Amino acid sequence: MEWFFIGLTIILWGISPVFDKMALNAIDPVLAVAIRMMTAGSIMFIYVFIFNKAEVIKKLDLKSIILFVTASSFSLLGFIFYFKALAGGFASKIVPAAATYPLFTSIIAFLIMKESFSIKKLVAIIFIVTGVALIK
Amino acid sequence: MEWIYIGLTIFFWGLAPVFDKTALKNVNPATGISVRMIWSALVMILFVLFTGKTETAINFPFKNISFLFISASVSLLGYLFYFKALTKGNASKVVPAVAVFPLVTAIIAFCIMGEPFSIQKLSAVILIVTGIILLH
Repeated sequence: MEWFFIGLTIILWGISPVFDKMALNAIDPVLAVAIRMMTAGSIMFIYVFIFNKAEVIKKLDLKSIILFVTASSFSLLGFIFYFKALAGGFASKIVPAAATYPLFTSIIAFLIMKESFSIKKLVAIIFIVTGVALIK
Repeated sequence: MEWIYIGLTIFFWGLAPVFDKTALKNVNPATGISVRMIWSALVMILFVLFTGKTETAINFPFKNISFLFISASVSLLGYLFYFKALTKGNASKVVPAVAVFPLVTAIIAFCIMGEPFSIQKLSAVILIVTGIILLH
């Protein structure tokens, strides 16, 4: 059953940037991010109230909120640059190139959080770097 | 210029999970997504209001706004199935598997949006996706 959900996730996340690219035709990418975020924020706001999650959010400790707000702010900045790139480039190039961000997370995790490094990760880096070089 | 934007996207998107990971130790992912999305929406509402871009945003063509609405909704629906998959299966299987989504975007971009196709580009996307899968 989980593969059914995995398949749906892949299809939906794969389709989403296609609509982003079509929307970015002749409009300001930053304002496009604003509209997209307002839509997502409104949907999540409704979700929170329908499923009575407001109490859960109210009970979050300050540290978790600060961490989520920081993550969200970085993510938002990333989105603005992603939309700027997507507005001027091909979706078939920008989306896979931007999707390589876990490599940067991995490097930070290795350097700062002292996470382990393996041969598998080295092979992954070689694949990603070669892929990015080829997509240029 | 687009590679500067891609680089900045990777930098900010790469940083965000470092904070998410710490916060998600005690918090449910759906709550985390809610906080993140609502915060992003608030920031962008304030941005639009304080930069005097309300008029521009309101006058966006309906077609473009619809595409952004579809993209945001489709992406959130993807999150829903992603969390469903995570509850049914192991994260070690689900997280790498969903990394295939840029390949779906590239295929749609080649086949439906008429973006230029080459074996080199397709190989690059496959290499990047394989690398991301191996990285997890």
